[in-house]
Amino acid sequence: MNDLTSVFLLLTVPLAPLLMAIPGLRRNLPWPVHWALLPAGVLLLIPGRVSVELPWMLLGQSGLAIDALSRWWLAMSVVLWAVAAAFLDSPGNRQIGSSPRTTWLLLSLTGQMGLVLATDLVGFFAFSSLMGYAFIGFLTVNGDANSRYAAKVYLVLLVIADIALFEALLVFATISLDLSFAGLAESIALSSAAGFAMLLTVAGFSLRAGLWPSHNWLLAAGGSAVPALGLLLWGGPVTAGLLGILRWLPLGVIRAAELGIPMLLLGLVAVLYALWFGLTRASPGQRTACVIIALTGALMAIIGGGLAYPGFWQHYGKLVPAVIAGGGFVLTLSCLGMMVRQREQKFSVAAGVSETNLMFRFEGWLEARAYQLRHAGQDNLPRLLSAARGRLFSIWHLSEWKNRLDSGEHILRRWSIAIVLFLLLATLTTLAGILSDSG
Amino acid sequence: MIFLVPDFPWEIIVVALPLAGALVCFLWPRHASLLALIAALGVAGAVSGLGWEITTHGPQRYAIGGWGAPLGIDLYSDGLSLSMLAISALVGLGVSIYACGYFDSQKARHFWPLWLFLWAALNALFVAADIFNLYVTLELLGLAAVALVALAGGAEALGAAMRYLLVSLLGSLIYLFGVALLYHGSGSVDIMILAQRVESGPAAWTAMGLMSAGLLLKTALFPLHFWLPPAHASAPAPVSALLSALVVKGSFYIFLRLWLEIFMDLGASPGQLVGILGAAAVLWGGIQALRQTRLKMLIAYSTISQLGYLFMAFAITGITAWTGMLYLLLSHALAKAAMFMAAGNILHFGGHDRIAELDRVAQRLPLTLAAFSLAGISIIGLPPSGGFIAKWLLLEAALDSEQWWWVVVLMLGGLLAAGYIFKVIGHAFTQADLSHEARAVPANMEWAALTLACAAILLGFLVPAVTLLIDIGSPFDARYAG
Amino acid sequence: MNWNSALPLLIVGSSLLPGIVIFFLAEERVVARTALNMTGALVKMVLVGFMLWGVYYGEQFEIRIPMLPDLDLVLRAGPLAMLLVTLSSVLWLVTTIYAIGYLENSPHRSRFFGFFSLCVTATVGLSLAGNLLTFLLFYELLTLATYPLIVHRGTEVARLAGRNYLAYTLAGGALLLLSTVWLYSLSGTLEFTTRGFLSGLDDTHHPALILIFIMMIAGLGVKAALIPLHGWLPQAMVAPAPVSALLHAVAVVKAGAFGIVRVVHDVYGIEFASSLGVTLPLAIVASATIIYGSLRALFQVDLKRLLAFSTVSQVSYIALGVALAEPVATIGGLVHLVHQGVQKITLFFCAGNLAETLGIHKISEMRGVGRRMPWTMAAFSIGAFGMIGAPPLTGFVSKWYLGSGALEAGLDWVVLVLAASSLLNAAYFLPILHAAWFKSPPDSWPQEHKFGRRETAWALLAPTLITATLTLILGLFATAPISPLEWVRFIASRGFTP
Repeated sequence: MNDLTSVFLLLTVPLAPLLMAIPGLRRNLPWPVHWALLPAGVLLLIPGRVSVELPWMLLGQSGLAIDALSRWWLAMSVVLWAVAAAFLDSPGNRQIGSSPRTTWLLLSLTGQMGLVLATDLVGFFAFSSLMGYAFIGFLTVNGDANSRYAAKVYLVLLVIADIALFEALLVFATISLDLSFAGLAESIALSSAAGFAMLLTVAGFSLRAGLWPSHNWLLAAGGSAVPALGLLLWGGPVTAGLLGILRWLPLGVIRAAELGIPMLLLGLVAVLYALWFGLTRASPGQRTACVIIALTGALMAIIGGGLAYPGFWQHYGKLVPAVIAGGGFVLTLSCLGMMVRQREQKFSVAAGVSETNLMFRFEGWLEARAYQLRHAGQDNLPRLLSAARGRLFSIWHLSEWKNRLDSGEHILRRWSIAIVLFLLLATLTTLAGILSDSG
Repeated sequence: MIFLVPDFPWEIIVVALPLAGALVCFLWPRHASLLALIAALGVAGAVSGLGWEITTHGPQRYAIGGWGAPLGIDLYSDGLSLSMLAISALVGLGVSIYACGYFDSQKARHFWPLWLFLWAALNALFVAADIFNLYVTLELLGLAAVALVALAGGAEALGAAMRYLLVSLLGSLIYLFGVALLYHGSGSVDIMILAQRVESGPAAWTAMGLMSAGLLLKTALFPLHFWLPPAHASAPAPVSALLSALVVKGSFYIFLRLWLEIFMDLGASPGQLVGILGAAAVLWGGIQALRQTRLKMLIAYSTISQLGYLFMAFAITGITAWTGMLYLLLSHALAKAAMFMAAGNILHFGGHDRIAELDRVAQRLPLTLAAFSLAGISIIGLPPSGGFIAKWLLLEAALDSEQWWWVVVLMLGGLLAAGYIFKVIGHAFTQADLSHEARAVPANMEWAALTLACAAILLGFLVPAVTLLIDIGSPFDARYAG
Repeated sequence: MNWNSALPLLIVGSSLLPGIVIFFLAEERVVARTALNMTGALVKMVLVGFMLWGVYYGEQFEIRIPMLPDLDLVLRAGPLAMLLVTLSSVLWLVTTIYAIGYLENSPHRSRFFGFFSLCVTATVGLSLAGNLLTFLLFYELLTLATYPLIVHRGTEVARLAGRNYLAYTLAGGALLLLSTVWLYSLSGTLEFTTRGFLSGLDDTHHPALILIFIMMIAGLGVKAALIPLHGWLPQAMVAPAPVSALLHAVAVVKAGAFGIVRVVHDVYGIEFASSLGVTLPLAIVASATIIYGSLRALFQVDLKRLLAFSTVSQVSYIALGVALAEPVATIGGLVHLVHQGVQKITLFFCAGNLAETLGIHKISEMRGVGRRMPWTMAAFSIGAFGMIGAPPLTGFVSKWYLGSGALEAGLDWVVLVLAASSLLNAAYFLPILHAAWFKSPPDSWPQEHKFGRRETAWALLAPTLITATLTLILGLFATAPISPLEWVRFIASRGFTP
């Protein structure tokens, strides 16, 4: 139904943060993030399914809608982002109005709202890209070394993930004309060629969500001095990745054991790793990150199980959103608690992160590859070309030819030669005529 | 036409008017330029009159004194001669306007009579109908041209003029031997009668060989081109324009006529020889032009290169090739005249014509550079110009007859031409290391060059009209049609 | 002459006449020159609008002028032609404004704008060409008209770059001329027809036709910057920024790519070309160019050279789309004609702004420039993300269609090529964006010109923002009724009639 109210409701949910992201508009507005979350809150309170189609956007099949699954997500997002924003700076601080950090946060929120409400693959992809890149901007602007490092790593992962997801999109498009989630689910169930695309989807979203072993940036971000970053991590990229898998793949309907078993294993490994790391080495901030990694691992394991055993999913699948949302709420509470304790202790510096050997090695490895790439082919081609040209010219030495051409003209200019050639021409012409005549 | 154009003997007027003009300019040197311009306009008008007559009544044959061949002298004009007359009228008009501003009064008193005399000889050559008359006009043409080259004065010009004189005399002499042989063999010198009477035999072949050699020497076909670059480069600019655009075309016209009327009936393989030499001329001229450091030498070698194209058409026979050749003839005349005039402007402006030191001519003489560029476009054969049409037709003819090697030469020639033309244009934009004192260039000199260059470009759009014109009298059919 | 045959001629003339008049204006007559420029551009846009409306409703616009015996000069407006004509007219208007601002107080502006108008005439002429002869004519005219713009500055470097440019383009033009004449002698016609006019020739000519195809693609590929014929493009960046923007990012390379589209569709016909077996090699060459261009761009230090190599890479998308011989991919290639033009011109405008306002020519000098020139960098970011192919920008839509088409045609490796291209684009654009937005600016810029409180001159900023907004809107509302994508679908629905 495209009636005016639903259009208004649904469109304002992503548009409000977008508008708020313009610095000029929110210069004097206190609590801009919360204002931006207001339409989402209103939408939450409206029962039933509301949807709107946007046939002239992107590739023509986009739309926004709220259903049972997205309601959970929307609720969680609203709560998490509200709390996080509240603790980004001291409450009531006017500086939040025009800081670039808030701009990036709001852009990221736009993406989040959009992807939660999207009804088709392309819209989801578009909004999640926006959210990812804006989140990277947010991490970079924060100013301390850890979040910048996290941003760099996540950027690389995001680009690779986006490419994988784009490929998956293309394959899905060949399988199914209707790219909305419902239509896609039907088509995948009927077709058998979707395996590769599903692998790409899972890979892409796992990279996005920070499933082990691509979790490094979560640890780094967790070690950052920004309060409540953990909440944003969960409420933003990680759960977006999880939602992606849940939306794109028709769990409980198909059976893809070769995909599900590895996911299951990876998820379990992630949980174990997170437990080990969190209990032995993490600093307080990184503990939140470990919790996130563990939760992610657990959920990925469940999803993997659902892919491998559809029956399992059909029974317990509905619990997953609840678990995710619940995890979010738990995180919120713990963060709140931590923040209160921080304020009491006037804990100023959290920059003393005990970076693990793993992190050092990973960063060093990245730097080495980047250096190699940068210098490997550094404009070698022009050097090669000029060397080849030099060799050619030594064969075809210009000055030699110049002399030859000059001397050619001089020879032709001498009268003796000229007259000889002249008589030769006359003879040849005559001969040619005689020959052709007799022949 | 509503009003009746009186039935003048336009062919006579076309020859007599410049002759009279030459005399008058000699007698009254003070008003020479004005009188010469009037004469030029008169000639242009006479050519139009002749043109009108030919287009309405067909090819014209005029017997001087009413006597008629084989005893008397006939004048014959068909589409081919008309196009040659028209182009020389156009170029002549342009050069006259140009020369008004170029020469100082001392040189001018010699220039005008000589130039008009040359023009008379040229026009007579184009309408001559027998081979002895052709010899006479050819000789006169050569002598007038030599005198004009020597006009520049100085050791270089005199040396070049001397060489040109010797070459000219040698060529005409050998041609005369050929005329004698043909006359002895067939009893007449009239072309039409010769075409019917001449039979293949050693006499005819020797005559052909001798006449061709003489004419090819005078048209500077490779490898007998050595005299052309010094002569054309050291002559004054208007003279260079005339030489490259018109004088070499005179001997070429004779060669073409004889070939079409007489020699083609006798067999075709000399055509391949001429074509090969033409191809060599294209490449040699192009490469040499690329190497030159002086602008006028570059343009002179460009002439050698372009003349080579004309000879290639003798190897690729067929009406398309002939049309292309003729189109090249016409557009080359216009373009080369414009180029030499532009070079003259640059020489006048800066006192030298070294290419590497052209010193931002693009800024300071925009009209001249525009003229040079437009003429260059026609020489290279880029659309839309007369040169492009010619190149297209020659390529089409070569591809139709499946002679790939000519195609390669045509493309290479175009690329070489692009090389040397744009070498000049590129240097015209940049600044030289040493600036030089500049003299102002009179407006008529710049505009004359630009007009001729635009005409070369416009020729590219007039194909239907031109093809119609040159077909009058069907000179390119193997059979002579009276 | 009725309206239908006068309109193509008027459109070509609407930039030719102002150009010729501008040549004769004195340097100081700024107002007259600006007025002529803007009038010409606006008149052209209005006429193009009429023509678009007419073509959509099936009107025929054609004019024939006899040029050679049996061959005419034909200007004909079909849906495909209108795509490039509209792009050229809109971008000409925008670039004229930009050039007026950029070249303020530069010498020889009359000469510049005269040749600039000639270039647009040539571009519009070759889009409207109805047969190969007309196309060839305007193609060569484009070469001649762009040369003076490259050597405009009159330095030795400019002269050498111009010489290099001519060496490549005139050789390409010669190949094109040869193949055109050859085709004419084989088939007797040169008109662009649906499904080509060569399929009727018998089999003995097929080797010759393959050779002709290779020569034509080589001739067109010089301007379309297919490797290894792309060498002139990075060197031509020595020209002033408006020239690089409009000509080397839009007009010249698009002329080459458009020519390839015409040759494959309207001269050979897509089925005949596939049966000859020439489309697969073309796709391979295009893919190689895509990768190579991005690889070279990765190692560039100078901003304009990086953008030049990026152009080399992106224009081959069009050739790739056409070579895949599949409707969806062709839609992707054709719509990329418009999208790449708009994106690239935004990037070049930004580069010009940076050079003019702050004297920035190298990437290393761009640290922190986002703070000093936020609007320009915002436009740059939009253009960059469009190049990477991030939704909802225009690059995403083109890549989508290309990828889908490749999968439909069964050539899965093309999708990998597209993926690699996105990756490489990200690799060289994202560090620039990162440095510009998130690093701190240096103490002083290389050569700063202050424009009061504004970031830079209005004439420089407004066109940048216009084209950046276009990038955003054309991508976001790609399926709206008046978007380029919908026009390309209209072209496809008509069966790609010329």
